[in-house]
Amino acid sequence: MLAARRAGAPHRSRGDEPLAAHRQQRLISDLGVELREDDDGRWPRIRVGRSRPGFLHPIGRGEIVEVLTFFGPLARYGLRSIELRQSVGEESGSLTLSRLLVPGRIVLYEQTQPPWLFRGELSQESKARLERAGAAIESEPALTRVEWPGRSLADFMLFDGLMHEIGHHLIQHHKGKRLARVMRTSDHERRAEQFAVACRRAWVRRETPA
Amino acid sequence: MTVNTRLLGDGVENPANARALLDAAAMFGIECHFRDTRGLEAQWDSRRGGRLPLVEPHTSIASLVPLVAVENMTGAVPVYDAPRPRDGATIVVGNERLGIRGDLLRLADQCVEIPTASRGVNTLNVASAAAVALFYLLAAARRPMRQWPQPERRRPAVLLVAPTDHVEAGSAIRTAAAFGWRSVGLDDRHAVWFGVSRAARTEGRAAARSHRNATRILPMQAQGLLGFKRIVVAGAGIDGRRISDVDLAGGRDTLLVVPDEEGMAEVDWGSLGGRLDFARIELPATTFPYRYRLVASIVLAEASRQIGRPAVAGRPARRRGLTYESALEVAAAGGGELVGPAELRDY
Repeated sequence: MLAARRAGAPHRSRGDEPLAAHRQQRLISDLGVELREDDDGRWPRIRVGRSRPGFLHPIGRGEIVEVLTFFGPLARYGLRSIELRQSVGEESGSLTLSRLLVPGRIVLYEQTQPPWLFRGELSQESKARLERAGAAIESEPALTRVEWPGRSLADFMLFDGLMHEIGHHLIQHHKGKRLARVMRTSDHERRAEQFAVACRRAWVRRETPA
Repeated sequence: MTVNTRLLGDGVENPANARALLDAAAMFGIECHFRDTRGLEAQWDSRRGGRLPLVEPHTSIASLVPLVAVENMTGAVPVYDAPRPRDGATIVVGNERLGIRGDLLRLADQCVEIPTASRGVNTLNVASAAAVALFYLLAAARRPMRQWPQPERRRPAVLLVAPTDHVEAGSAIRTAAAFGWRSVGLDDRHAVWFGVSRAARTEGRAAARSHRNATRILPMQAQGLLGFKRIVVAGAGIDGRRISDVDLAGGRDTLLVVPDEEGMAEVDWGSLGGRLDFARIELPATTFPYRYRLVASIVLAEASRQIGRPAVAGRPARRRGLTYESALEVAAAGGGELVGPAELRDY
């Protein structure tokens, strides 16, 4: 049946197939609620680089393993490596949290020790992301100070960094075209963000059972 | 210093630039002359400073040699480590748009260039270029521009403080853009930039604006905590160490402050937070008419020299393949004001 449908519409994107959309939908909803017990899937290699003086890696190997264990083998399917790396050479106009190198390599960058001081104002989008992660933001005319109470910075890196990139990875991976851009970047970002938000919600529910 | 050196403006057409060139020469205690091939004398107003010093129309070009041409061209050596001009040399800068005419260029014994780092704005205002060239040819110690693996990581933030004139501020911003700064802080306490009515300029800019290479002007105030680990205040009358001995390439945690020393009231630099350093441009002349764009250009040129250039010039950037990243935009997208290269070239 699948072959017949493909033959009927040979130029149709595989990403538009009902099966692919269904898988993607199931993936997001499943990852939002399920704690997987059958954890014998393949694990990505986790490399931990040393951070520079004045910087830190908000999460370590333990937290990465914990969160990947929680979300199960489906979340790490196709992932090759997760690397904690120094942020040397990154753009000075933005603060890079993480990067997905397609296919399957995730880099999480070191961050400056809190509190974070930004010159000028943060964009509304960035403010919203930080506040969602639990940061306390104080804006002065020339300076924005971001405080990270408790474990909030680690959670920020876990979900706005790691799980956000895993969201990108899964979108790429489940389309089948693993080296080609499978949708517009803005849509890619939006869906990865939705995925990260769903993951954060599931994680919070797990930590505070009803 | 080479006392018999002189500055020659070849075909300069803007009288305001001619006046600024006279001031640049005065900073270094040398004479400035003009070879008028584009009607400068007709536009010159004696209120700008007496008679325009012209080379005689029948003066043989040969009498001007040895010539040092300041021109960005193939074969030119960076001005930072160019040899000192010979006694009696003439340092030539050219027309604002067209540069030095071919007859002088052919006779030049030496051609020096001011290395720039921007694809959008690759030249300085003619008077700013003259000041930078004179500083490195006559006043500063010869120190080459070094190569670094990632020079952009060494680039400090720049804050221009209290310019008193719109054109001087614009020329300083143009210099910053040419040396590779994509955003510049501006303490506009005299309301010469953000405060003026610029409807006409905005109208002209709308068509010419290139967002790709635009420079962002961020309104900032030189007071209160600014969030930098180190602040360097640099200028001609600043009481501090020689500028070449001060590290200006401290990266994003360093703020390089260039105050207009004429328009600046008392500023409590200590209130800006961070470690404070003062850098002074050593000039041969003790008294000279102060001009902000000239001083700012020399400070920014020295910072650019210290930032350096990429270790492997000309190698194409490594292709990274398909990537996605999660990042925070540090400055609000709508903050400040974007100025395109086309407008900066007018300063």
